[in-house]
Formats: sequence, C-alpha cells, structure tokens
Amino acid sequence: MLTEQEKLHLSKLILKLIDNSLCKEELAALEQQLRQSPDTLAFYREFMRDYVSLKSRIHTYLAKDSPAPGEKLLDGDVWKALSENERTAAQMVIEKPQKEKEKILIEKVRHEKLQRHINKFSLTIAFLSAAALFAMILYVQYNPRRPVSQEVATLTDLLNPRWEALTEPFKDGDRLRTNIGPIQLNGGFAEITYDSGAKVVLEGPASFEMVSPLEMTLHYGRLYAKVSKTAKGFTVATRNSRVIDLGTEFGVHASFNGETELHVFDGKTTLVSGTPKDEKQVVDVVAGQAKRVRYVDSAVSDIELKKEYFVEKIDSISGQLLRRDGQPENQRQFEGIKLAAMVAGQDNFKQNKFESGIDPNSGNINPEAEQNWERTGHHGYAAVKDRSFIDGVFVPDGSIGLNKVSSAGHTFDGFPKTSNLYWMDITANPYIIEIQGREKNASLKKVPVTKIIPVFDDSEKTNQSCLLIHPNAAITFDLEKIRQANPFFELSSFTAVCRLPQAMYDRTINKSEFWVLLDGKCVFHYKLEDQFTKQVDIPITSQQRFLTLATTDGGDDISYDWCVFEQPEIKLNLKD
Amino acid sequence: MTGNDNKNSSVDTDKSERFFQLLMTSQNRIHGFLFMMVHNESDAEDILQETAAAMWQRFDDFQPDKSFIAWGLAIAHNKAVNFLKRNARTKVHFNEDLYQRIASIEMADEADNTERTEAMRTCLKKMKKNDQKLLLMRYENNIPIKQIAELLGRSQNGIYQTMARLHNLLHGCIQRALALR
Repeated sequence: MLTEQEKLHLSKLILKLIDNSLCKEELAALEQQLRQSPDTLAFYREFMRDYVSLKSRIHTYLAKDSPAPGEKLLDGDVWKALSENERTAAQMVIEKPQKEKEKILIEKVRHEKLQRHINKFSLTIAFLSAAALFAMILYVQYNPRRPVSQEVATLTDLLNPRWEALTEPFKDGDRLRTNIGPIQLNGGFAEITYDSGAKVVLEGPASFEMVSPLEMTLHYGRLYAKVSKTAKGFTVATRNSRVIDLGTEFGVHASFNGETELHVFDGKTTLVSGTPKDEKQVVDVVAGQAKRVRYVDSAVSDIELKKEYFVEKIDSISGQLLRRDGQPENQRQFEGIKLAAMVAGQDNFKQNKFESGIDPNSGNINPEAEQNWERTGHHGYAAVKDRSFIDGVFVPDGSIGLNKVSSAGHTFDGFPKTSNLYWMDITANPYIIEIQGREKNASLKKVPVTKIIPVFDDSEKTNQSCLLIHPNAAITFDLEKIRQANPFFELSSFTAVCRLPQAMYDRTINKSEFWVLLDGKCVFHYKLEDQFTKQVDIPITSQQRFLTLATTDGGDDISYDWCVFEQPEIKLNLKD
Repeated sequence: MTGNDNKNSSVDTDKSERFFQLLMTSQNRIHGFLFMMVHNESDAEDILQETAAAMWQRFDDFQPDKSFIAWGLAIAHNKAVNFLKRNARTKVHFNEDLYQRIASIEMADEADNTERTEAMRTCLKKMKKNDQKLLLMRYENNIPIKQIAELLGRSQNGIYQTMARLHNLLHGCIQRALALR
C-alpha cells in the first residue's frame, strides 16, 4: 500500500511526465518505481484513466452544480486560495481516510497555522500576487484560445433523439453553451439555431461541440447547415478540415474512418483541409460540388454530390423530416399534393386502386363508385369519414339561395338553379362507365355496365390523375389539415385542367359548369360549352382554409355531363 | 423527399448507430489505455483517432458476442506500439517491457469505465469550490502548470504539488466510492 506522501510524490512525477518536464533522474526513478511496485503501477494506471476523464468530461461532471467556468474564474478568492495553498504546500497534512463503512467524504486537510511575519518581503509578494492576478484576468479574458463559456445557440427542434446515457437529456428549447465538451447524439435528429443566424440539423449518431457564436466542431456524424447572411463566416470544423461558409447551404459528414465529406448545395464555402499538424490546403467549393478530405494525408478529392443524404428540416409535431435534394435553391421543385389521392384514399392511390367513390349527398364512401339516376340532393352538407383531408361534400343547387360549402359554415350563393339530381359518386377512377339504356322513375338499383371508356385517350400522357365530378356534385378540401401534414411547405396554388373526357367530345352538347371556391368565395368559373378544356391556376394564401371543387348541370339534364378536373394539385413552396 | 424517421432507417444507419454507441461507451477506456502508453495528450488523441478509424473499417469482423472493449484495446495496442517504435528517438519513453506489462494488465480487463466515471462525478461535486475551479482551469481551460507558475511568480514545483494534492483527493474519494459498490 502506498502512503499518502508516496502518492503525492508519485502524482507530481506523473504530472511532470505528462508535461514532458521530468529530468532524466526523475524519469528513471519513476520507471523504477513502476517496475518494482505493483501498487505504484496500479496507481499510475488509475491516475491516467482519471486524467483522461477529467480532460474530456470535467465540464459535464460539474455542469449542474458549478458556475460556468468563465463566470467565477476571475474570482480573487480562487487565486488567494491558490497562493495560500502553494505557499503552505510543504506543511500540508492529509488525514488518513475515514473507515470504509462511513459515508464517502473528501479527505480533510489540515493546514498548520503559519506565523505570518509582516515585512517588506511579504508586502512585495502580496503586491506581485495582485499584479499576477490582474495578469491572469487579462490572460483568460483576452486569450482567444481560452474562450469563456457562453450561450450561443438554442435547440429548436428534436426528432426521436437518443442522447448519451451519462448526461441529462437535452430538451427542445434548451440553450447550448460553448466549452461544455462534446455532446453525444446516439440517434435521431437535433435542430440547433445559432443566435448568429446559422441553423444546423444534426443526424445521429453524432458527436459535436459548440465552439463559438460562429463555429461548431463535428467529431463524428452528419450535419446540414443553412447559414443566413448575418452568420457569414460560420465554420464547421472536423478532425482534418474546416468549412467556412460564405452565404450558403451545405452538408458535412465526419465519418468514423476519419474522412470528412463536404457537399455544397447553395452558395459558396471555403474548405481548409489538414489537421493542426499538417500543411493546409485551401479550396473554394461552390453549389453543386462535393469534396472528400482523406484521413491518411488530408488530401482533397472531388466526389459526387449526394442527394437525399442530409436532412435539411425536421418537424417533431408531424414526425416528418425533409432530405435535401441535389438542386440549387432557385431550381428546386416539389411534387404537388394530389387531390385525387385524397379522394381515392392515400394507400389506394399508391396501389393504383381508384375504384372507390364518395356519395356527394351522404358523404358515404362506396368501395366502387356508384352511379344511378334519380339520386336527389338533400340541400345539406355532409362530412366524409375516413378521408383525412376532405372536409365534406354536397349537391349544389342555387334554388335554395345559400349553399353551405364548409364545416366552418362558409356559404356560397352563386350557384345557378340545378335539377338537384346527381348521377355518380365523386371518384378518382379515370374511367367513364356507360350503362345499358335508361329507365326513368325506375327503382334505384345497380345498373348493368355496357362500356368502360377511359377518361384519358391513348394519345394523352399516362399516369394522369383526375377527379371525375359528374354534376351536380361538390367536394371541399381542408387546406389547414393539408398544411399540418406538410409542415415544411406553404400551399402556393391550386392547378388543374377542367375538361371533358376526349371520348365525349363528339357526344351531345355538354353545358356543365365548373366552379372553384376558396372559403366560399368563387375564384374560378367555367362553362364547358365555350371550349372543351380550361386551365385553372388559383393562388392560395396562408389564411385560406377550404377549397371547394363543384360542377353544375348548366340548366339541362345531367345526361352525359362528364366533368373532369385533370391533374388537380396543390402546388408547394418550401418555407424558409 | 419527405419521410418519417422510423421508416427511413437503413442497414447502414443501424450499423453506424451500433458502432457509435459501442465506441462512445468504450472510448474513455481506450483513451485512458493509450494515455498510459504514450503519456502525452495530443499523441494519445491522434492514436485514438487512428484506432477508431481502424475499428470502423474492421467492424464487420467484430463478433457481437465478444467484448468490444477488449477488441478495441487490442487494436489500440498495435497502434500504440507502432507509435512508440516510430518515435523511439524523439519522444521520452520508458523501456519497452514496461509498456508491455501495462498493456497486458489493461487488456486483461474488459470492463468499461462507467463505475469509475460515476464515482468521479460524485467526488468532483463534493470538492471545495476553489479546488473545482483549479481543476477546471487546468483541464477545461488548458492552462499549463508552467504558465500558471509564471503568471503567479511561483515555482512550478509548488503548482505541481497543489495539483498533485487535488488529484490525490479525487483518487482517494473514487477508490472509497468504488469499494462501497
């Protein structure tokens, strides 16, 4: 067993070994002790483990209970204590440790009282101590290599985060400081917004560190950075590179094998490659380019820009994330929201199953869109279950004046008087189903099919989506629910082509009318008799909630009034 | 392309996550071992990076029923030995057989550092505030002992004595904490 004095002496030697300040004799003495004494070797091993832990994690250990290191660092008491301890070091007596069964206690230290002699020498020392204290204050305050811990960013969103087990998990809204050591995200995603204006999305597994208001170190993992003009100069450092933003969006991957990849999607960056010991190489990397910094020698090579590799945005409310495509910002296009999918049911639409239909009078969903004559509207508004983004349906008829067009009570009084009859369920099925003969006043029954005519001609584009809304029928979509399901986007406009199916062009004259309403206000109206097709392109504002598509019979009966909204979509713009 | 997090997990992501968690759990232990071998902070960090890179490259060969720490220590040992050979003339070292003895003892111990880390956290919190601040200055602000001594106009020996005292306080507390578990 080593005595306390022996441990003290040994600790001193080890510290000097680490600082490379052992003289030859001391090194030899230390080596001899390590060889001859198993206790000394055990102490050495424990000391080195503890040293490494302190070096990498002391701030994590003391984070909750102690002030941030910069705050009380300049406390004069600290230096007085240091001075006192240092002057009295030779006289320190360390009591033997308490019995093992007692509670854990730090050893008490007795200071033997010293007789203080007030003399010129002591005064000089006191003066020098004060001067040294002042010098230390200046050193710590102004030395750029010794930054004081400061808050620099906020955790603005988290998606399924899994943090390192030893630390208290970070929460949405937490402020992040510099100099708190590496933060370990084992899995999931974290969005960090710097006060300076840079926004970073980290994908776990990742280990990263806040360095300054304009810098982050990425030890391992993947991040995507979007840097506003106010944060120009924002830097991401890895083991062998520094990426300096010049007004841009970029992704960085620091892999376990020591390589760094930089992918620039917008704007321009400067890449400085090389570890602190290497000679540096500086290269500009612009939008559309990607570079790899090799682990072995920090050599830089061109690589392909990776699409869908970096997560650009996360939304914890919807649980969604958005991966960065490879397009420059001003060329990015996003697939519109297909209203036909909302009518068919999203899963059905994905499986190319469009047969179902919605009864515009009752709101019932039929597995196969039903059609029959003498189906009469009840002048009401019916909710539609099992279709998340559809608010309701109705049979439009101007004879009652106000038609209710949304669950929020919006109404429209512009519909003409109609027969209040409807033939077919509203459906996304791109087929006209002709029936055998017509029996007025016959009982409602399933009618025999004679012919199935595709809405789209062979010469037309395939994979077109459509809504077949045979008059008199209307459907209202809930734009707010659509917004919530697409958190990264603004709904910019509704587009479609109002038309007859091509096969119907030479049939009886169709006088049907198409209507598009936003919150009960008519924004588009078109009479088919003018021409066979008409483009619709209606802007949507962020305040508008309900989009209604309606068809009316044009004043004659509803026979052969096949009305199609071709490719009905809501266009999207990416939010900032 | 939008998607849900769960649906987009791929085999590569799973592998990365597994490796990352294993590495982060064992890194402290491997780092400590390397520090015993080369007793220089920046050298130990460099070799640790090399070791981590080698472990990732060979991760497909790692058998999940074996000790990840033991596997990592073996790779780290090779890296350390190569480093010592390359730097035999330029760096201050012990004789080779002492390092071999250290390595043998360390590699026979497959435990991670979790208990010791927990004990250190507890013991650090119990230290006097001024003692904590001194440790923070040395280990968080990286002020070398030589520099502290110069700034204070004191002998380096005295500063080393103070830091040694703090280390011993911590060590004693940790040892008692571990003995009680």
